[in-house]
Amino acid sequence: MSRRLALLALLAAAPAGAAAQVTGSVDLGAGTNRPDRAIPGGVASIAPTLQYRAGPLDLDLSGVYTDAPGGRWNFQGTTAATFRTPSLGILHAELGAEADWTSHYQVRGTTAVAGSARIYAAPSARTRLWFGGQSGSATALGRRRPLLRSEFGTSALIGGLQLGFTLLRSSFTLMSDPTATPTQDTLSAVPGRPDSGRGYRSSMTDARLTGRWRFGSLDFDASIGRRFSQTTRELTLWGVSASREITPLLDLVAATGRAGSDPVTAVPGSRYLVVGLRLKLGGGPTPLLLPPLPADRAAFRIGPVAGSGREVVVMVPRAHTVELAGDFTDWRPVPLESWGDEQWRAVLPIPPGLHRLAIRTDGGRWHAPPGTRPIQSEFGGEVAEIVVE
Amino acid sequence: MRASRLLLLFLLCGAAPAVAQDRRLADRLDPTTATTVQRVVDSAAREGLPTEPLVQKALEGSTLGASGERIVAAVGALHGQLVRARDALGGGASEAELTAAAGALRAGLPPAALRRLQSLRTGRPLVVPIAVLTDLVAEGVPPEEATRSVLDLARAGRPDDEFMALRQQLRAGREGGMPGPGSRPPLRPAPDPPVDQ
Repeated sequence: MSRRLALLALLAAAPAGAAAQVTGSVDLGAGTNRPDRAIPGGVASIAPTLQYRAGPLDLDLSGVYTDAPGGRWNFQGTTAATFRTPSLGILHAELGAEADWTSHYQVRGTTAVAGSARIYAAPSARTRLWFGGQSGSATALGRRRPLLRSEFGTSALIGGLQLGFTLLRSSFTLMSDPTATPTQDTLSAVPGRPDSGRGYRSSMTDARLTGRWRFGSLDFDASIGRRFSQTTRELTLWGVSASREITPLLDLVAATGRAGSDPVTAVPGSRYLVVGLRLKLGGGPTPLLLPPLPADRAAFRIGPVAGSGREVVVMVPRAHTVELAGDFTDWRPVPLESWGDEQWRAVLPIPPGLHRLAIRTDGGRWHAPPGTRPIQSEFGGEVAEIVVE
Repeated sequence: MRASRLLLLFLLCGAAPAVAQDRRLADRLDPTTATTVQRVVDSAAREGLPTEPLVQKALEGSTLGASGERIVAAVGALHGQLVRARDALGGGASEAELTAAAGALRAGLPPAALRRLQSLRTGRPLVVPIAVLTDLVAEGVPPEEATRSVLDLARAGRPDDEFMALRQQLRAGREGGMPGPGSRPPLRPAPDPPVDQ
């Protein structure tokens, strides 16, 4: 019940007036799975996902249920909430909370709850750097285990290819002497450091290179990485997935790869090959205005026609005056009124169509409103072009 | 002598506004710039092109503090882009469509892409698909890839909302950079039970 209330509170926290979008999919797949320390065989999976986007808030729910021979089944579910702060120059931050759990046939499952923070820097429109940390707690095999991760990443868009590189360091506790039972993936002969008698503290680092691109009507994702650790043997991790649209509501999807174990919850890794169908569950309500950038989703918006015009709202912190000019004002500056909470507004007659506009703060230079893509004007300043439906 | 006087008279007549000067230009621009811009506007009107985008371009320059010379150059360039846009889309295109198409050509998209889009969207407005196409290219998507994505949606008869969603999806993919720590391919089988370490 308390979980439902928390979900409702998160939904209610979405900024008023921000366009919300709900999307989802259900994957149905079949293939082979070779877990590190279990019986390999054919599997059938069903994997629903649901995303809710409203202003700076994202909510994600996903799960996968896998049926294996002999009546064995496994389930993994994840729910995550992410809140993005407004941009400060080239920086913005994300705060997140995530819960992950597994259930299994005749075996107790695992749970993990963590909070996270990330700081992003966007030196250019095509590059991005970030670092962050995650801290929480997991329960597995009847014991509570601390969860601590730190991450550094960078991505760049080169032509149509999006390339990324991440370093993810995980600290965890081994619950038994790692020299006792060496096995394929998770253990080696190198001991960890005793942690006050409750287990052996250790850490591992995953270095991962990823690529995402479109070739014809096919979308590809690929990753390759290496796991480095004092207490587990080094391991190469990789994955390739592809999807092709068959109809607007149906994709053909395939994925193969080598997944690593989770050192915190102790669930094993596996090699897998799955082919299936993805049923897309529609787009839900869509924004009236051009979709703003994730970092500033509610920073600028134009509402539907109401009364004498459309309400224009722009978020500008620490301003004394804010003016708006555009082709719908004959480029005459229109002062916006302060509306509290760093928001400025006006009601203006704006017909549907493609419009060009700019704002000015405290009599300074004209520039594109936050949350819109700046366009260099022929006249030296920056403006934005938006579509109003 | 008489011929040269006649020629001068002809040029003067040609230079004179064909219609009354737009008050907005006269109010906001210096007289020389206003007259020159008005001449371009009149020329566009005679060619059957929309004139309001040209007036707005001049007013934008005025508000952004541009010199008269830059305003005249920008208005002249836009006039040329509108001509190319009309050549691509034909005389039946609306003012908004021509304006959007002019922006697409300025961004480096080929006229053939606009013609193809128009053929796939017969009877339906082109403003949103063209604006999305332009936006994708401006954000770094190669023109061929952007065109293919937009044409795929047009071919499937998708509504404007889905073109907007395409742009949002691409932006989200880039802004998000990499999948988060908890993300996983949905098709990957669920993990087996934990194993004591």
